[in-house]
Amino acid sequence: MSEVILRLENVRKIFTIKREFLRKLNLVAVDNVTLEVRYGETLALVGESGCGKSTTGLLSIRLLKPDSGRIIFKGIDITDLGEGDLRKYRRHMGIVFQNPYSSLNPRMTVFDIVAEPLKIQKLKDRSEIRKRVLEALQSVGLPREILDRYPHELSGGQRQRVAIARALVTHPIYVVLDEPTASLDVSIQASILNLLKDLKKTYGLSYLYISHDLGTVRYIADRVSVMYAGRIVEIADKHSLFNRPLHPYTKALLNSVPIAEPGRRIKNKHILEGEPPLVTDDYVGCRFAERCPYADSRCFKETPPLEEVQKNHYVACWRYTT
Amino acid sequence: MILKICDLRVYYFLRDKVVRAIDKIDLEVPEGVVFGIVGESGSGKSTLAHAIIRLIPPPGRIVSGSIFFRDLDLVKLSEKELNKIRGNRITMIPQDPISSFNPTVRIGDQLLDVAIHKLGLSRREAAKIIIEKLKLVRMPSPEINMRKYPHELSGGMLQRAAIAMALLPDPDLIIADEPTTALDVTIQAAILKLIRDLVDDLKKTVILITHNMGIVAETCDKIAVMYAGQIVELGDVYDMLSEPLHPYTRALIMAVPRADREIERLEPLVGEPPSLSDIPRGCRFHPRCRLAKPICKREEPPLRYLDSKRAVRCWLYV
Repeated sequence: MSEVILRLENVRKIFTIKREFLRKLNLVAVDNVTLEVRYGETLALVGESGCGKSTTGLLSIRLLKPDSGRIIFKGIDITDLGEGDLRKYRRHMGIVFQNPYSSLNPRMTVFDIVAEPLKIQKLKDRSEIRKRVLEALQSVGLPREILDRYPHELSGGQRQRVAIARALVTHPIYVVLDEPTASLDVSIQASILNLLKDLKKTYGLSYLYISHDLGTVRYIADRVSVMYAGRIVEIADKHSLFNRPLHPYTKALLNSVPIAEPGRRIKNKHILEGEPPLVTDDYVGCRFAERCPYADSRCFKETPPLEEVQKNHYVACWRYTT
Repeated sequence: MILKICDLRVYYFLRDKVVRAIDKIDLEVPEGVVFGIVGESGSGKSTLAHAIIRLIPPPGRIVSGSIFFRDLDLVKLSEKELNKIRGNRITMIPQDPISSFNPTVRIGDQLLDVAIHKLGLSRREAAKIIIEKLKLVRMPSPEINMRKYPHELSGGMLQRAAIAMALLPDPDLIIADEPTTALDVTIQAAILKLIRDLVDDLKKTVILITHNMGIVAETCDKIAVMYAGQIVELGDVYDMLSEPLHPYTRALIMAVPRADREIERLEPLVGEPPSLSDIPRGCRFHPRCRLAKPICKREEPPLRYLDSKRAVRCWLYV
């Protein structure tokens, strides 16, 4: 078995939106993304809203179909599989969404919510279903008393545990975590992050952890990929990325994060001006060039490829410095 | 002191219960600072912000206490007198700028409307002052952006427009309620720097409501930490962060994962905050506190000043 559980190869996703009468705009949400999630690791996908990170997560479990590129799961090309064939692989995949208030059906009980993936997998044996649901609830630290409760009767932290139990009930090996703590208070966030870490260890899971919060990324990830305007601009192991970031955007992002350290003041920070561009299918050049203090004329004309510039450290920049 | 709040209580009277959203708040905000109010959801921080300008929706009301803005008690003012202060001497920067603008009116017209009808300026004066404020908030291409509708601007630009609007009457006090929650971190940094400039360059006073300790650390001069409707600790930001005293403040700082260092294991707080309609007896934090003593279960600790700047509501410091 290869060490790679999931591989995206030059994956591209375009959303067509109607602008004015008969005028359409092809927005490139995900642009030639290549990345690998290895067995037993947490790969973080970091970026700001609209950068394509959630779309990439959905593509990786084929909840969306790419316009081009390949999706390889456990060595099998699942890019063009139909729903029936996909179901065989979906059992090994899970996803936890950002908002446990909207991702749980308010008219279903906890039991029904957690059991649903099993029913989709056509598991019929009711005692087996019950056993699996209880097992999943126990693994996320929820008491069996909540089986018959509805989502509105639960706290935000409990709801997110239910969402995690639902993702784990089919015994997946690859789980997409899409901002799983973004809508939780910090005191609850810490316990969910610890739970996710523990579950990964216990069940040997691999995570794609999608987030804009670099603090949680540093806590949970093994490797980090940074996305900007639909493209991966940097991938490295966590240590290199946080200590020696290479891409100017990664540097700016790290510098922007507010940190509860006495004496660190916003006044002394260099602030990145501007905002990310809308990327249409005829866009040329580096997506970050407009905001980049180091950009030269080449950056506006040619799109930099993602290249390995140090061992296991990839960057897409013409002007990076070490 | 630009603002002095004494024993402020805001309760919501529901059919079957009373929600004590904020309770026994004492707070002094000196002139020319960014004063941070930190807390998690349900801590009462937004209620406090809204109480200051008396915008508590029914069935909530200010039950008791005073809010002195300079020498005027805002609690006692008539609506007419209050309107000379609210939206004039005290203005607000909203949490979510997209919902604070009218989606069917161009941004520029909304600013004009405030300048003409609220401030009584002529059209020409209004236009001049709006351009001036837009420059101040570093709005890119103001002439073009003012002709746009709210949905055509990015979150960052809308927030700049909202800040410009808050600055129109040249207020003394600006209340910013989670002004960057809806924004990305790079945009957030720009907005926070702008808010800091309002104080440093324009000598305004800002009350910044947030749940983010990092924002507080980098932007505020003084902070108050709220828990279950009360202030549990307040002081200068540097002191509070280098030596947090209240067990909740400590736990809050410890629970946040850091982008600037490796943490082996986070220590989450046990349990969840109490419901404000069913507040525990004694110290409100005691069911979650590792250091709780018998007295903490029986009696509510007072907010006690340790020196002229630092106060804590905890029996460990009495």
